[in-house]
Amino acid sequence: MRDILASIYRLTEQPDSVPLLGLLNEAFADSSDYRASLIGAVEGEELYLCYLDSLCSTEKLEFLLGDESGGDLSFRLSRYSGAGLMEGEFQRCEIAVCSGSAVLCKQSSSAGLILPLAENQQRGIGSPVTENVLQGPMNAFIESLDVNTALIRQQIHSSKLKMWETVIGTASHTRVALYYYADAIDPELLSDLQDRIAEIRIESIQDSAQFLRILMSRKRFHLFPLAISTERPDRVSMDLLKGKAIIMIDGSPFALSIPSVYTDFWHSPEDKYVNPFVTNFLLTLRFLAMFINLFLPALYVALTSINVDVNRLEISLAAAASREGVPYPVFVETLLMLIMIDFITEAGLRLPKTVSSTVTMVGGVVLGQAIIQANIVSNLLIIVVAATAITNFIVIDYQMGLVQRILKYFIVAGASIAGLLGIVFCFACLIIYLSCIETFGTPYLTSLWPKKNKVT
Amino acid sequence: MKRLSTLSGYDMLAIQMLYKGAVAGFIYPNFIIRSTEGAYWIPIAVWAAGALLSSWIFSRLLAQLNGEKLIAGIHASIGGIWTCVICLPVIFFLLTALVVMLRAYTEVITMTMLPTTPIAFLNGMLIAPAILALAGMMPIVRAARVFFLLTLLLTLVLLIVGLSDVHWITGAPWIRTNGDFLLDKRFYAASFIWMGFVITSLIGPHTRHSARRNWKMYSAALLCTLPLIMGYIYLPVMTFGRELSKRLTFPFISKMDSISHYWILFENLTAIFVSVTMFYLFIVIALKLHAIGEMVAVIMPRANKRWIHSGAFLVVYASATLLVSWRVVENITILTIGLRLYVMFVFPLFGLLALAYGRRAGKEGAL
Repeated sequence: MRDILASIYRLTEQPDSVPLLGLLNEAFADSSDYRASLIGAVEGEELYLCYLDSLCSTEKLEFLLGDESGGDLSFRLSRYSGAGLMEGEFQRCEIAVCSGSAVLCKQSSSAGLILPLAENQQRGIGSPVTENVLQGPMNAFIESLDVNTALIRQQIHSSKLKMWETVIGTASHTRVALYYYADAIDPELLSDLQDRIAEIRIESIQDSAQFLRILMSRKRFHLFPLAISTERPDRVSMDLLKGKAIIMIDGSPFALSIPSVYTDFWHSPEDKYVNPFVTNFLLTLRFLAMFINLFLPALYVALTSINVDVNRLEISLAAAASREGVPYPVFVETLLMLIMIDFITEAGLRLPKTVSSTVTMVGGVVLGQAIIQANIVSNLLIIVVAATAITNFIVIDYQMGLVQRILKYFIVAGASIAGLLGIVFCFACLIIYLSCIETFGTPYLTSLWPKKNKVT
Repeated sequence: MKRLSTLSGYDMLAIQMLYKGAVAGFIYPNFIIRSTEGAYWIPIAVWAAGALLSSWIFSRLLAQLNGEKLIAGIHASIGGIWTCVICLPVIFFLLTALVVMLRAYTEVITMTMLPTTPIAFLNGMLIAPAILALAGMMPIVRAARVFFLLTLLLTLVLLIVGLSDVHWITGAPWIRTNGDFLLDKRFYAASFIWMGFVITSLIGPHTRHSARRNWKMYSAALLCTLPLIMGYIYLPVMTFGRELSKRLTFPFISKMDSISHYWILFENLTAIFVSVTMFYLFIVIALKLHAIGEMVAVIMPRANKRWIHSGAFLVVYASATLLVSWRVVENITILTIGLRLYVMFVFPLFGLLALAYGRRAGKEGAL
């Protein structure tokens, strides 16, 4: 290939600079996968190919290093079929090598030729793991930004779908992409996001959730998630058309949908694909589950210990009978069981699937039965805690589910102090807190129902 | 151009209905029931007309503003000293209203739900609305929207359930009145329920358009809440009779106590009523604290907003805790009648005069 040869001839030695080969060898000195292979000579000077064995495609290197690559150098170089060719100094070459490219340089030249021969290691496109649906597209994002971009573009075939890209991380050099739909996005939001991203100074970044934390770092700590983290291209495309911005980072299969308000976390992508009546029913069901999850244990504490007279007499008597022989106060008893169920949930999530079912069985059934027989907690509480655990799994968004798990302890504490009023006070505080939060200029409590699409 | 964060029509409706819900349930019925021997709806209607008049004067005043806040507009027209003179009674009114409201509510809690919990602890609930007040007007409005949905639903359910076991005959006389309430101080003391428009006038920027819209929505809210207010008064009267209702400190709460149906999940509806009232109360307290903060910030521009709110919080908390009995709360309500009448009718007139003076002075300056 004439271009390569011509470019190699142009690689010259700068009088005051250290040769690139030496710098690269020094930089990658203790990296066992680093190779600096001698591939021939040009004008009496040795020509080296530097690359990382682990990142560079061995198939693509075949033209230079393969067993059947005999012949003179110009013949071998003419078989190069890679896309593009760049010349660069040490820093650029170093980054290129780290990204999987190979660098061609003469022994004493101060610059090298970057051959993009990277072979990205990635899994195939699969089904979503955290956002299961029964109706709708079944593909999910993977860890490759290019593949994810393709998945989004396959959903929106329009030139109005824009993508702004930058690199973040002094060590990781992670590619970050910001997608938006030109006719729908608020320009203020877009420029604000671009400014914020440009201001980020960090060593490395691994996941989009981590990126969100960095993006929000100038704000005070927030308990609630401020952006939906999704792995579904269909959800991303819907959000783009609603005027939201999507941020994705290379290496993470999750996209951030910005801004996201509280009610967004309660909508499943599936809602768009089923009958609207069913959607409303499901939405009601989810909110009902949220209330049960937040308030049921607290109501148990309030109605059996402080506001006994609020309940019907029969229920109060039944509750008192079920607590007969239980040595602990209601608050301690409830706290014990809530923590226990959280242990079981966490164990079930972290363990391999084959073992987790056993843990759930042992924890849920055996431990539950044993704990009642040992008179440590009441029968009624087991029902309450089981209902609480089930309703927690109805929460669509994983992060919101985690927040709910924390909040129920806060409300139980309120109930144990002031009974029903304590619950109402905690709930009011929660609403007050939510009404004070803003996510990228949008109030978190914007509306109870999603706005109609801006783009039709 | 940045959009003014004025209240929308729905926000105004929600806030005004929440305002009435916060004050109509526990102090108000007792005052009205004891103020007259005639039909109860007549003093209510008289005050409703008074409230419409007051809000109309206020709306005229607000219409003069061009995206400014009311106190800031007055300050710009007549300077700091005169603004201080006409605003100090308003600040004092807001503080006393907060003290009465908080203490009355905690007294209700002590009497109905938590008899052994110290008042000082219960008064601590003020912290939540104080934080909301500090957060600004729009967070209050957003919280009000959510609370409005919850409280309206629950209050309607309670009132509908309250219709059971009523004897319409005991509500009589339905039409007759001899105007005796006009000579009763409790009739005038009940004016606090009609001051919702005053509070919203003191916060946020206003324009001619927003003033007109707010007045319309206030009128709509007033119409919507009249049945609720009637329910708070007539339901206990039609259950216990006029004489017994006069002797009850909280007639409507006693009415809630008397309801018993096998199909109702809860036996004690008072607890539900008191709990729902907390939502109402938080919004109104937050609005009043915010209004105090806004006014003081104009009068003392160098003062830190956090310190103003903290000061108001401490004054209200300490005063509400130091009040020795329910009787004192009632007496304060009666003693501050003049203050309330000033805020409802005189202050907006002063405001109109101040703005007119400011405009004239501006024209003369330009010439």
